[in-house]
Formats: sequence, C-alpha cells, structure tokens
Amino acid sequence: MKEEKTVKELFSSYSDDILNYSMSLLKDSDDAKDAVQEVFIRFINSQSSFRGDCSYKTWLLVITRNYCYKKLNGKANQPVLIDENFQRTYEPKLEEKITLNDALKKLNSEEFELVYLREYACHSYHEIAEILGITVDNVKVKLFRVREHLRKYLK
Amino acid sequence: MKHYEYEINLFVDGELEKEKQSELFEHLSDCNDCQTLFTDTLTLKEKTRLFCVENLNQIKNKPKPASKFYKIAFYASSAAAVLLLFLLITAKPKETYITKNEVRVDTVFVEKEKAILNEGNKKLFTNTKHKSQSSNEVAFVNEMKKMKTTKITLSDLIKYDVGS
Repeated sequence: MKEEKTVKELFSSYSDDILNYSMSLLKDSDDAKDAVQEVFIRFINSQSSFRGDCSYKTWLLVITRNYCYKKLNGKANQPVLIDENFQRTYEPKLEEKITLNDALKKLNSEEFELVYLREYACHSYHEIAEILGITVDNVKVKLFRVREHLRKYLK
Repeated sequence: MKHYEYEINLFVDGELEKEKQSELFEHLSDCNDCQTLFTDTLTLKEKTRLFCVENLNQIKNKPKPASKFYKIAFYASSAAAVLLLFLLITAKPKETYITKNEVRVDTVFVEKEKAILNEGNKKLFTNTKHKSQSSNEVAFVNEMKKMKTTKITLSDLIKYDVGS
C-alpha cells in the first residue's frame, strides 16, 4: 500500500539515515551533506514514478546509494560476483597480527556497506536486499561470509 | 556432526524461521563448538557496530583541510609576531631621566628666552640703571648666544647665577 507522506515529513524522519549512509559510502561529511540535498531533489523530481512496492525509506536509500556510487566511480547498481569479491589472497600467518578494526577497515565498499546496513542501521535482510538490489538469499550468504572472514580476527 | 554456523548467523540477526530455531537450540545444548561460535558471533556483531559508530564519528568530526592562502597567512603572521617580540626584548629604551647636572632641553629654551628678554630690558635702561649689577647676566646671555641650541647643564645656570 502506498501511503502519502509530505517531503517535509520524510526529511525530518529519514535525513539522518541518509546522511549516515552516504557518509559510510563517501567517507566525507561535506560530501554526505551534499548527498542528502541531492537525494531529496531527485526524490521530488521522480516522486510521480514511485510505485509504492517498497517503503519510502528504502526508496530514499536506494536513491542515496545510486547517487553515492555515481559520485565515487559511476559504478551504481553493478552486479557483484560474490566469489570473486570475497576471495582473500594473503597468507593466514600474516592475518594473526591484524586486529578486528584493521580487518574492518580493509573491507571493500560492498562488504562495508553490507555490514553498515545490518549492524549500524539495523535494516532487515529484506530491506538490505531491496536497497542493494539483490535477493534475500544473496544477502544471507554475503553477510555469512563477511562474518566468517571477520571472526578470524576476533581474538 | 553437522554444525549450524549458517543458522547461528541468521538467528543472531533475528532472521531464522521458528521451526528451525528449536532445532538450533537442541543442537546448541550438545555442541560446544557451536556455543563458542554463537558467543563469538554476538561479540563480533557488537564490535562491528561500535566500529561503525566510531568510524562515522570520525568522518563527521574530521578537521577541514586549511586552504593555501590561510596557511601562508598563518606562517607569515607568526613569523612577524616572533620578529616583533625579538625586537621588543632586544631594543633598549632611550634614556630620558635627568641627572642632577642636567636640564631638560625645553627648559633651556625657556630660560634662554627669559635671558634674552632680560637683556632687552637692560638695553633700554642701560643709561639709567647700574651696569655693575647685571654684568653677570649679560655675560651669561652672551654665552647663550654663542651656544645656540647646545645643552645647558644646571651647573651652567648656577655658574652664571640666572634666576636669582
């Protein structure tokens, strides 16, 4: 069901989420503030095409993601092959010295985005799947692999 | 024995179906490996969340890079400040105090004017008044005229008996 909300309401409830999400992607607070403005401009321009098959929040976050990736590399919504992405090449002996925080810093943007959406923004798997444009099963597998990788650095 | 890593992962996120939950609990009660895995996953989840919070705060409070102009201005002004401080410390003030043998230059001029005035008066009355009394002062005025703007000490004034 599509329930009507004014832009003002949406801005007051979701601008912080958009700001944090764009900060996690762009790694810059000024760029992130610009992103929030840009996202709402895009939202207003394309409001008529919103079908209502997902929540406003999810849709706004999808716009945010597209904008941020376009700004970074122009790589928005490119399908990512899991196996290639999650392969680690370095030796297990070297891994012992790396702490969890270092490992988290070394995650690529796709992995970090997933971690951020799940652990910080507390989205459900369904929402994450909608934002990233992948299936729920794919989200499950990806998160499982990221955690499996990170668990090695826990001790 | 089959381990439930994948299911634990889902359960921690609250995404495991209820039928599978009881199956997982049964397994957890028997399997030590999966128990540690379960606690590990929980701590990992919490630590990751903390990392995200910290990371976002860092990005939020990152100091802005200063522009070149401000950098140059900053260094120039600090150098100027150091130079000024150096000059202030090393420079000695011009000595302005007066010893007992010295008279201020401005007082000298005043005294000189007085003396010239006196001399003029005397010229008027030279014929009528006594010459001998003012001979000292005339000598002083003559001396003053020679000296022009040179410094006069108190001892000079005493010597020529001015103002008495």
